[in-house]
Amino acid sequence: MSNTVPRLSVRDLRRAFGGIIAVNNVSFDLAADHITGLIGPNGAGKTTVFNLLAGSLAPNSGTIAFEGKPINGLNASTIARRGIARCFQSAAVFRNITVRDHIVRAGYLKAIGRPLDLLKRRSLAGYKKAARDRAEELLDFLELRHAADRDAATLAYGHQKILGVGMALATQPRLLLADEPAAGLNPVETTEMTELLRRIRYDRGIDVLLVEHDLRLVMKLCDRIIALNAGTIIADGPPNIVRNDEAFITAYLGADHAP
Amino acid sequence: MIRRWSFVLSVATLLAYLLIPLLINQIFYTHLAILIGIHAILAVSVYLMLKIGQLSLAQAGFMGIGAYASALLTRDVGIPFEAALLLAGVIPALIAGAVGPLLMRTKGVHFVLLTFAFGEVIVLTFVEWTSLFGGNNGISAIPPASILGLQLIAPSSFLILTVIMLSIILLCCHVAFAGDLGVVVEGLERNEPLQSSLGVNALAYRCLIFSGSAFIAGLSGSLYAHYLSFISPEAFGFWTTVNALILNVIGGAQFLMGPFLGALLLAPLPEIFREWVHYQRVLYGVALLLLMRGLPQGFLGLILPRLRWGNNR
Repeated sequence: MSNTVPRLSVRDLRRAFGGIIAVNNVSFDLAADHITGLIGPNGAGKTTVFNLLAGSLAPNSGTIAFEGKPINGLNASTIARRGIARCFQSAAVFRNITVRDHIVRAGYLKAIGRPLDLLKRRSLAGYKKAARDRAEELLDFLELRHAADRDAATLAYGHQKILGVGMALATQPRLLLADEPAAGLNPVETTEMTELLRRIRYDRGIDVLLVEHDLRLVMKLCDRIIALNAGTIIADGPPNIVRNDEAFITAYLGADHAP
Repeated sequence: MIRRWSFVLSVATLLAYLLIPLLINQIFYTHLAILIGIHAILAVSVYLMLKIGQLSLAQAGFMGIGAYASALLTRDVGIPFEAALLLAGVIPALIAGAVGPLLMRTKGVHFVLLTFAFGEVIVLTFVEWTSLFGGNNGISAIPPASILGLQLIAPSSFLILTVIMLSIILLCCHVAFAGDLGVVVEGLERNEPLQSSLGVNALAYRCLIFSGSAFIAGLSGSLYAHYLSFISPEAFGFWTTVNALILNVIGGAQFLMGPFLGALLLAPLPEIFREWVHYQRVLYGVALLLLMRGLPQGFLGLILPRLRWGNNR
């Protein structure tokens, strides 16, 4: 990919629910090799932007391009196959299935993404083997080897969230959308999650876009921060710039705290 | 090991279901067994939809399409029963495939209401299009089923066909859900957004299951038509689907053998208590309330709390 093409390019994105405009003409580019934080007070439109990027919602107008190719209006599964993965809060989906098997399944589900794919038995066998190999490598990367053979439903919450990230990684994405990765975690687990996201970016070269309420984590982890309020971008830049931005401080703490 | 035992139990039950009426050799019991089989097949079609967490009230409508298609194709067009049976499945499956992308975008109550309306549209078409479907009078003189030139006029021979059909359908579902399709379907039921984010086209799979369930419902319709040699629209209304749903609830809607067990227990009741026909609905309602209160997972959930009989997970 040419360096001039951004990983993700969002232009004039707009989405309304009835009379409420949740996302209003939002535009930004994500360059490759970044961890970007999307922050904002409750109701700012962060989750809506995430849902638009992941294909869970269709925009009313505007364009989204991934590596130069438009993806707006595509469904979530097609976007996932293009290389954007989203990790969910809880990932223990299947009954009576181990952590390892969750990661294996996550790794080959896109190979049977459409019903007709079920007929391609020979290539599917190869895909499954690759998914199994990848799962072994991911168990070490996620530091979940000790729990590999446990029923995923019995994992502690922090490990469930790490499994969620692992399942997203099993799809071999180039951009990871992490939806509140530290929500509900204790300080130790938060540190582990922060470290994991950093390693995803630096060891595996996967870009990360995260929505997070824990501002300390965001300021520490992200190369760049996009702050939203009432559906529009109010600040955009490196953490030390955004932290002192007047509009950002006003949105979070009220006008009295602005410099 | 558990799976092997559940498979052996399933086969044994099916064999007993076939052999007992044949050994008793009384038309009444053979007749009951055939009705059980036909109802069980329709109930399996409802089960498929429940498997993806959706209740379709159009299943009896699909059964009707299969019944009318099979009846008209054999009686008026003269094609062999074997081909008509296949088309009785294919035609409703194609119709479900065509409307699926519209209906399957909805979930929950909306989907239930839409499929209810769709089922009613199907029945109204049978009623109103009198030149083709005979209106409320229905269609009579439907030729008996015949396989390879052998006419299945005796109830015992039709019972064998019904049991073979039911067994093939159950086996196909078992094999399909034991493989990759089962993985996808379980994910759809448990957490569809996550499944989509892993690259699975949820809508396409939902449509596939909807079509598959219509195919199976259509097969039950064909058997029904050729067994009774007469069909009318009222047999394919809302209550027929509700009864098929009840069979699932009673038998155990989480188990593939649940619908069959439900049919085994309930389908004979209306025939046995024919004289109490006025109280049937009331008795049915009271029995259902008690059963759902006492056995939320149906009879299989009671008999085999740990052993998931006929389940492939």
